[in-house]
Amino acid sequence: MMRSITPFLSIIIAVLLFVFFTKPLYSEIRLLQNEISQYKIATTKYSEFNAQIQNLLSIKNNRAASEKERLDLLVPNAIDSTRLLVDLEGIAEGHNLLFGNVSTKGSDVAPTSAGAPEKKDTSTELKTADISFEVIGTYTQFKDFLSDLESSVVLFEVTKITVTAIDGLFQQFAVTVRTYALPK
Amino acid sequence: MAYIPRSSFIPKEATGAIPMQIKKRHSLHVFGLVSTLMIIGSLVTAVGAFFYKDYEQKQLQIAKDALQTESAQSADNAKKIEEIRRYDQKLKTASNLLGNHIAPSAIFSELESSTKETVQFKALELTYDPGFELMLTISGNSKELSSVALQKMQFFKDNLFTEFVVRDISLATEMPGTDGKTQPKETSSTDGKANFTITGIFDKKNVRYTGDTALSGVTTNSNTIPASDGTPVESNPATSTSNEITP
Repeated sequence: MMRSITPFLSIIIAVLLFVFFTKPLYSEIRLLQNEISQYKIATTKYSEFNAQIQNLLSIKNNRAASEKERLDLLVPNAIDSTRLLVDLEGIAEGHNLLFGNVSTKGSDVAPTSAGAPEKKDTSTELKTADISFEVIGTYTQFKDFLSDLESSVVLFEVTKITVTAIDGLFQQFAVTVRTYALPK
Repeated sequence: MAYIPRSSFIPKEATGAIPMQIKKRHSLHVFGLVSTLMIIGSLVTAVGAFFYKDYEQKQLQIAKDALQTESAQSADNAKKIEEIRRYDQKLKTASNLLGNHIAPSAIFSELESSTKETVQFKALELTYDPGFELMLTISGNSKELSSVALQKMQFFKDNLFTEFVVRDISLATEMPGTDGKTQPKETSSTDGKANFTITGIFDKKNVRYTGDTALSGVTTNSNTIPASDGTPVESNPATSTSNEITP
C-alpha cells in the first residue's frame, strides 16, 4: 500500500516545491537580473558621459595658453572702459595722433567675483559698450591707426567715422568703436 | 450433422502477450521512476534557484558599487559642464563677432582707388551696426558736373556699393565781386564748382576683416598724399596725380 502511494506523494511534493518555492524564487531572480541590467546600462552611460566630458575638457585644456588668452581678450568677461581708453590712446599715440574728446555709452560690465554667490539665472547675453573719441592727425596716420584698431586682439568694432576736411595737413576724425563682453 | 466445438490444446491468449499481473507491475515501476525524477528535478531546481538568487544579489551589489564609483569620480561634473559650456559659448561668440568684423581702413583704400582725378571728397560719414549694412555718406566737389557723372559711373564699375544715390548736386560759379574778391553763386552753368553727396550701402565683402588686412589690405605707402585742404587722394598714376590735389 505504502509502496504505491510514494510516487504520488513524490509528484505532489515536487509540484508544491516548484509552485511555492522555485517559481517565486525564479521571479525574484528575473527582477534582480532586470535591476542588474539597468544598473549596468546606467554605469555604461555614466562612463560614456564622463569620457565625453573628459574629452571636451582635454580639447579645451590642450589649446595653447596664448590662444586662450587671445579668446579672453576678444570676448572678455567684463568691460573696463578705462582700460580700453588707455589701450585706444596707446594705439593713437603709436601713430602720433592726438587723442581726446572721449565719451562712453553703456556701463562697465563687472566680472563675477570669486567669493560672490553664483546666480542661478545668469544672463549670458553679450554686453556692449560704445566709446566715442576724436583723433587729430594726417590722413595716413589715421589710416594706419584704423589698421591697428581693426586687427587689435581686443575687439574694437568701428561703428562710426565722421570726418570733414579742413584746410591744413591735420584733420579731425571722430570715431566710435564698440567693444563686447560676455559676462559670467 | 451438427458441428460440436471441442476444447483445443492451443492457449486462448495470443502468444507473446504479457500477462496482466506483469503489466501492472511494469507500469507501477515507470510511474515510480517518473515521480522520482520529478522530485529530484524539483529539489535540484529549488536548490539551484536559491544559490543563483544569492549569486544575482551579489552581482547587483557589484553593479551598484560600480555605479557609485563612477558617480563618485564625476562629483564635480556640473562645474566641468559649466566650464565647457562657457568655453563653447565664447568660441561661438568670437566666431560670430569676427564674422561681422570689418576693416574700415580698407574702405579708404577702396575709395582712393575709385576716386576720379577731378573729384575731391570733403566729408565722410560711415555708420555700421555690426551684423547689418554699412552705410556710407561722402560729400565732394568737382570742377565739372561731368566729373560727378564719371565718378558715379566709376563707383558702379568698381561695385563698391551694393546701392547708392547721388544727391544734393549743386553748381557754384565764381563771380568777380565788387571788392575784387570772388563770390560764389548757385547756377546751372557748367563752368563752376559742382558739389554733390553720395549716400549708399557699402559692399561689406570689400571690407570684411580677413585677418591679414592690417598687412596687405591697407596701403600705407607714402604715395597717399593728403591734399592741402585735408582731402586724401591716392596718387595712383592710373587714377590720379598729385598735381590735381593742389588747390
